[in-house]
Amino acid sequence: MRGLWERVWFAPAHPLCLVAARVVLAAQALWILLSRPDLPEMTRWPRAFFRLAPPLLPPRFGFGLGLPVPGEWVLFALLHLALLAALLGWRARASCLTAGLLLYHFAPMEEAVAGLPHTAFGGLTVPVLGLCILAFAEAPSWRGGPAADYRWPFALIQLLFALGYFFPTLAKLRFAGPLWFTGENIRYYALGNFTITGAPLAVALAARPLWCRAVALGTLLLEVGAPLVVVSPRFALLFVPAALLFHTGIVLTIGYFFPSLPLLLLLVDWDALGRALDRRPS
Amino acid sequence: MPELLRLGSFVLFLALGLRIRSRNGALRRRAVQALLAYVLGLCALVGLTQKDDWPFTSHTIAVGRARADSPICQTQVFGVDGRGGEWRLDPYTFTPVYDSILQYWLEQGLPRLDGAGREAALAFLLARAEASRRRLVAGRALGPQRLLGAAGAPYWLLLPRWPEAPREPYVALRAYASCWTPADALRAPGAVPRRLTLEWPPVR
Repeated sequence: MRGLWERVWFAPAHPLCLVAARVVLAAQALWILLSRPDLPEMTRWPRAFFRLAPPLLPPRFGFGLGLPVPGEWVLFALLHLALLAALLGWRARASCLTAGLLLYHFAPMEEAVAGLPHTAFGGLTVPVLGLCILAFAEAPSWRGGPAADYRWPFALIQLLFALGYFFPTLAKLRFAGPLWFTGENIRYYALGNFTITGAPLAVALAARPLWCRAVALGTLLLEVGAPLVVVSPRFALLFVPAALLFHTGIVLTIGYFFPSLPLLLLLVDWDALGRALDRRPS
Repeated sequence: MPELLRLGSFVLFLALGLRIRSRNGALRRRAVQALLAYVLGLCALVGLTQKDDWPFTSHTIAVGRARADSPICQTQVFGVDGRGGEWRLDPYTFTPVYDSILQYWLEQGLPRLDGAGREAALAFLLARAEASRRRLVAGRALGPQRLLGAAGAPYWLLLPRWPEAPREPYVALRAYASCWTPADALRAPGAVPRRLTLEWPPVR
């Protein structure tokens, strides 16, 4: 156990791991924010819309504290600048911390009126935590010798991303039991969501019991196995295309999009890639 | 109190993490171990109890069991033009609040408001709908396409888009509630009964 703990968190890793994580997380956050260009307008919504949220939820994230709307726009602009700085590696730790804290402030705004039912699926959850973690860690350039200091932040960010697959399985088992992972359940999920989203292959899937069973089993294997990506880069190599297939299938059969899809790049073996680049003759 | 605890969990995460920066050698290693233990422990607690503590989230989604008789309910929002024509509103009409989030608020939040509060909230929504109508009529995009076009990241729930809008302003909003089962919808697609739950201001 101790050996595994040491290997997962403290085996020397190439600095390219942290550089890649910083670039991927910053780019992901910028993509989501540029797709939500009017987030600060949420502070213009009357208080009546926030009645369903717990009273301390808005102040928990620093909104509803009296900052005027122009002030929120200034913070929003600052967030974009911090993410750009993080992307480019300029004052990496400070820009990552600034970006992480401002993302913590802005990301929940989209769903605050409903008490954050699905903020986890907004595409900013891992960037919030990941950018903060990178602020705690070293900020190396991409060339240099491997070190334990470059492993633990990268592995922690990978694990936080992988938990986005593993925890839904725990939730399914808790609320629905093992019968969630049956062909019949997948069939009626597809049909039920078809009536809301009109997913193009929902009816085709529902008409094929064998496919439904395969989807149920595939979902279970993918979700339960996800944390192994931190332990085994080879497993991660298999996980990424499987996850891509999984998410493509969900879009076509259920009508759910996964905004964190680009974060699968976190599972690339950047350590091996960095070492290979170092071995290239100059 | 729960919200304060959740804020505290994030603050503690920051404190444990920033502490690493001020340590060296064996002390630094211990500080890293403390952060790892905290994050792993907190994530395990959240994952096992399914008590969300965003950003330490339980990732709870699509957890129920679906059946042929599982009821599915939806509130559909329409803009009404001056001639009484109904126009289904695009899910990004009230951006940054998405259609499914607003549906929840209309069903659960609106009934809790008193007369004056209700009027103000609905006037706000009508104004937002009208602003989005003007954008659509001018050929400009709503939601994620505003800056990034087709490369914009949609909301996770891919509701159908309703890009058509009247040239004349909306004079009212209407909302209809529908409930159905997958079996109903397969048996008679498009024939799901709906019930008017909101019309504001009342259209004579």
